[in-house]
Amino acid sequence: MDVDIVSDHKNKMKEISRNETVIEIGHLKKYYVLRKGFIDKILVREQKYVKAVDDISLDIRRGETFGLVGESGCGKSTLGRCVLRLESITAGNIRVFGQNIRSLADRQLKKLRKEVQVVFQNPYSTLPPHKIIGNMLKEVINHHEIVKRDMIKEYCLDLLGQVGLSEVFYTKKPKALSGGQRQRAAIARALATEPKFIVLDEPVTALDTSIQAQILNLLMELQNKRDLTYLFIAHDLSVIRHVSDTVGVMYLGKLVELAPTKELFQKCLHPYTKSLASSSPLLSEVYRIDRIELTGEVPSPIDPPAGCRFHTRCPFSFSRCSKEEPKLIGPDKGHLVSCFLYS
Amino acid sequence: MMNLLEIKDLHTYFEGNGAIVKAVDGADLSIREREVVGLVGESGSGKTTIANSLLRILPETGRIVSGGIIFKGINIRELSEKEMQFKIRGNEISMIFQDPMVSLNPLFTVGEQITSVLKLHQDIGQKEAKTKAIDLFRKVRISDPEKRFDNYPHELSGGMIQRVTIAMAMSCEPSLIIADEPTTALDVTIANQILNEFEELIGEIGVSVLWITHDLGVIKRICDYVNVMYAGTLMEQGTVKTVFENPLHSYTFGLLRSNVIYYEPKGKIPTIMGELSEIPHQGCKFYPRCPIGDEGCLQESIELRKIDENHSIRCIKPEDAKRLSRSKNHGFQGVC
Amino acid sequence: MNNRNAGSVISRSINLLFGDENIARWETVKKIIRNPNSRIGLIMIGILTLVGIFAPFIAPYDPYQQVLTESLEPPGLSHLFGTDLYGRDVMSRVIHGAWIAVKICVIGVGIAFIVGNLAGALSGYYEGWIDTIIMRIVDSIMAFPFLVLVIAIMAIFGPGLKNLYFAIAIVSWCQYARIVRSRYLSEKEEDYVRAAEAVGFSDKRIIFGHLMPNSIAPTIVYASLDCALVILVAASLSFVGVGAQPPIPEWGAQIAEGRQLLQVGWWIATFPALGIMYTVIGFSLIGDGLRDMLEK
Repeated sequence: MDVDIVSDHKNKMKEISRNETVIEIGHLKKYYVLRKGFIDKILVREQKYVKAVDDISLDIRRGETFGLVGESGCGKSTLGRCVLRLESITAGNIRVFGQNIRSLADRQLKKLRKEVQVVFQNPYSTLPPHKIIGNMLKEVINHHEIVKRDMIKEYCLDLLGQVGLSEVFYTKKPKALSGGQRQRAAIARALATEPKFIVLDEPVTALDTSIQAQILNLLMELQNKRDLTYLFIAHDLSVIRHVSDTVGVMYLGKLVELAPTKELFQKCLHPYTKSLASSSPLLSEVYRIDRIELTGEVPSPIDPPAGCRFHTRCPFSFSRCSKEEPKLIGPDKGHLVSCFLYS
Repeated sequence: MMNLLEIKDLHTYFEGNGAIVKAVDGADLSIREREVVGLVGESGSGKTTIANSLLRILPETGRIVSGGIIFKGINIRELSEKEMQFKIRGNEISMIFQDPMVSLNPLFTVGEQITSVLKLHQDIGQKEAKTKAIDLFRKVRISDPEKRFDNYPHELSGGMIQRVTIAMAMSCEPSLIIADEPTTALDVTIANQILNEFEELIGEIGVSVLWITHDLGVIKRICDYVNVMYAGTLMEQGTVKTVFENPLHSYTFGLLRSNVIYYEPKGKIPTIMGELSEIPHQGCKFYPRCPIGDEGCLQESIELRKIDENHSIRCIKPEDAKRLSRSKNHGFQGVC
Repeated sequence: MNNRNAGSVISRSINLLFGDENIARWETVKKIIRNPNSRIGLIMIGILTLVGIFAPFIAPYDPYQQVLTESLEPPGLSHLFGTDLYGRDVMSRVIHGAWIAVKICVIGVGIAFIVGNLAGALSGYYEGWIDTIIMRIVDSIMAFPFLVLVIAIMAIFGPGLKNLYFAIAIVSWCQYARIVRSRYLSEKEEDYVRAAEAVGFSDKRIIFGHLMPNSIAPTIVYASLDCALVILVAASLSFVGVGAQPPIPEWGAQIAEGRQLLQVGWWIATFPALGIMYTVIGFSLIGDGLRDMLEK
């Protein structure tokens, strides 16, 4: 009886906290200044930018996994790095747990570093090559003073256990580990500071199929156990489908579609999202998504096409697409799409 | 129908620092005319080494220890280096590599590179070679082929370069193309385009293809026949239909099972436990990760056995595997 | 087999003494010792260093004491390497010269190594104006031939051993800075550096704790080869008269003194020359061995 009440209460609390927005990105822009050549300087040519992220707004709620999907060069990793504050922000705001991270004092920055962590794609460069795994973890734990010094080894071993690595890995250098094991160690490092939010930048892309599934299982299990919030960046829609609650589809620095996962796959709207889904025959079969074959290449983000950025490759484009820029608006509540076909 | 290529019990080992790495340790596969054969396996399973053994382009530390490679009735292992170079490589068998950015020489235009291949293998002049190259470019759907002819590799995107390498591979009308993960490094939509085009193209020119990949989805899409490798050994082979619908080796079964697409979102994905690391010296190499294995699997070396006309496996307990694939409680549990 | 057992016993006892972390480090040391080149080189330089340190005890005579009655004696039982024009024992002078050679390497190359690593690290990690300033300084120093610039610096500060160390350091740090900078430029793009930033480590910690251990190897190799070069430069300077001044028993200075007497006393110049050769070979062997080990 009592147990029921307690768990009921817990669920209620969870429900309430679930709706709380923890990451709030508002009109985020990240432009990289393109270095001018000597002749450009003499001729006082216009400064050019790579518009990696161009006016993106999205919210991530507590405990959810936000899947960000797109091809390479679409700016999804840059967005992740902006949230981590590894990149400066050109314009717009990012609020992480209510804190605007654009300007942070040292102490606030340290707190952010503790609360927000990252797992990168390439297992072969993500670990410092000269350090044994134990020392790598210890350094992180000491820096944030997570546990007392005499408890530190136990804490490390416990961490390794949680990510499915046995104690022998404590003294191993990254060289001796396989790809999957390295990725587990990288996850252990991310967990070491007891973060609440983790950016997963293509964490399984470089792994073998059987290992991919293991790591995905591990990530989901950890999320449940530790009530983590994820920003899951990937280019593979079937992985995104599996792990995310909400999906944002990016193309050339813009968000083209944003919807709850179920909604997105059952009612896929944007032609680009459809074309992404088409590249996995099973996926388009299961959800009966019209298959769209694209032609041409992704244009350069230095001079993105005017109007809708996708119009150069879009099979449905008409004259309006090249003149006006579509807004990200919703035909339904919660399902936003930036395409003139739906407005 | 005669087999175009037949590999029989191939063993290719690498030696270095006093240790021997058995990269390929028992591989049998055959390719018939106009057939697209898939070779699938995880990284480190020796699939690229098979391709390199075929063309005899192994690094210095590697050597073919035993086994036969019969191509059009000729034993490739017995050919001289010169014969390999002029008759086989590029001419009869050509290869498409994984990384488009390093497979072309950055110092020459793509046109120069493809014409030099054409001139080497076919007795034609520069002018003829150029028209032929532009024709090929058109065939692999390179837009504006005359202009691309004078571009350097860095001026082209990854997808374009992969098309150029495909054109080069096809330039001398080979009988067999080895494609070593040609779409892995590309973006999904580009890979999708190239896969479609490639599929059409091979139908058009009627060439046999050995498609190496780790992606079962790609195999299902374009191959007629599939070979599954694990730790250098061929575990299962058969037509794509039989293997995908009725996998008999527990490794193939596990691989097929671990695709996220089959599962409810957020659900646990059944996985093959462990990683490719400890391999028993004797018996089945998959034993440490196999859910149905017992001591019997380690007793003797296991031969590739024919189950029926189009299906062979290297496993002594196909009945158990069959039961496994039917049962709901399949025994594949992740370590996490 | 026995050897391997001994190794594992040692590594196990190191483990007990210092904790698990040091096994990996011990493995590297073991690798370096196993390489025949670096092993021979290390032994040669080890002997040189010992001879240098204990020169006052090993040398049979005072290197400065002139005994004019024993001038120009050929090698014999009382003076193994003979005596010079002033009757000083050549062997004692060569032994004391070893100490000077060691000092030149440790101080000259040591300063260059530290300064170069620091400058290269700042330059490569921060880029921007720091990089521009440091690299322009490097460029302007390297625009002059090595020896000419050292001679010019010596001419400004005046001859003498102390100035020699610094002249060598001023000129040779540039190479280190360039090597380190290029390593940092590529290494800092690696994900583990990004991850370290995301954990919140300070720049100082990332530079010294994460990047330096991964980019120091080529400079260590270069340093051991540089030692050989620096010995030669020091000897050349003393030979032309702007380095160590007589009566200091520097090898180059001794060769210069013995040069005029080659016909009457070949031994005066030959033995210091052999000393230089021995040292240069020793350091070169270490460098080769290290390169095999570290740069793979």
